Amino acid sequence: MTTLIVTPALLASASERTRPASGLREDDREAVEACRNGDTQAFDRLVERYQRDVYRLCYRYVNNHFDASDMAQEVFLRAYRALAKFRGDSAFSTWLYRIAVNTCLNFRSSRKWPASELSETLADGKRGALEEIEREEKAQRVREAIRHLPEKQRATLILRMYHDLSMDEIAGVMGSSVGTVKANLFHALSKLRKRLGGGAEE
Amino acid sequence: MRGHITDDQWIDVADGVASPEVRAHLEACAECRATADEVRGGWALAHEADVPEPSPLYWDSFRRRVGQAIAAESVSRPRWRFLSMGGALAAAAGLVLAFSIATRVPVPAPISTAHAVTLDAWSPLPADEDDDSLPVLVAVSTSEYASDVTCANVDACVLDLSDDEAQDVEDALRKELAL
Repeated sequence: MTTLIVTPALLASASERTRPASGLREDDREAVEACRNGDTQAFDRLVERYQRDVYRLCYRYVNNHFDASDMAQEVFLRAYRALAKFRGDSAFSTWLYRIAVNTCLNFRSSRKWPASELSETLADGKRGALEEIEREEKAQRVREAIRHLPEKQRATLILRMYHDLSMDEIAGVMGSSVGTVKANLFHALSKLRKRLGGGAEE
Repeated sequence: MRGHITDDQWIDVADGVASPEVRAHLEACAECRATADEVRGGWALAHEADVPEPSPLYWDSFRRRVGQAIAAESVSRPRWRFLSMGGALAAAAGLVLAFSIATRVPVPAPISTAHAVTLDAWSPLPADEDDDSLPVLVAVSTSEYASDVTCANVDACVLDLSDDEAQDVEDALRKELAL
């Protein structure tokens, strides 16, 4: 049986098809300008546009909904405070990811979580099929393994794997060189593989 | 190529964009091939880590919480804005002060006190006979208002005058003193 491995190159080519060459989306630029002119609804539009991405990034970092939710809220609050400093040199999403990663790196949960948290979806009991439960258990194991990676390796893996950022963009977000980003990513993947063994299915 | 593939070259290998030199080494080195498999395996594993999607209602609640946090911050912020404007306000106040000093009405030269009677603040009023102002009042007492002057001394009289009476006295004094 052949397994399709989605490599960073495939992800990058897919994201480049949807990302404008200029970096900053026109609707983002307009919303940022409106915010600066005191239009609070404009920031609400930015939140609506990026809330899922920010939440997912935070979730992959902490592997639980409640911390991820608090962190995502903090990310948008910090973004609102810093909006005057956004110069539009990069995509708004990249700028937001930088804030999100910094928030993640500084975050220390005050909550005590069990090693595994059942997702809200499963807790709802709406998807009770055995197959779905097994899939979620595998995902949970991988997320838990990611959560145990060193912080910068974790952030690098998340940005590359799940948010389609290029190496240059990740370097900008992390404030490091492309070489360091690649090395961090390599170590993250190696550790993931070692921690989970041959596959998440075992 | 000397030595094995380095840490920062592995992602290029996984991406399939490694240099010909690195690819040649990979074909020849079993150890590096094993590492390459490990990296690709790591990617495959990472791809299985879906994030559970919260309830659709969650996003409305999330946006509302962000909006409330920003609104709360905006309410408390004007105070900080005011404080941060302290320098500007001080500069503006200084400017107004400087302008008022530069453009104020010229103050008359100080009256010489060489011949003035010096009275301490707590001194009692002088007796009528020592009141230099009384002859002036007497001089104008030939006026039609003279019969109305029933007060004990000049100060008391002046204090009792209405506005119109004070104006009349002033006019009479000016006339008497030929001012």
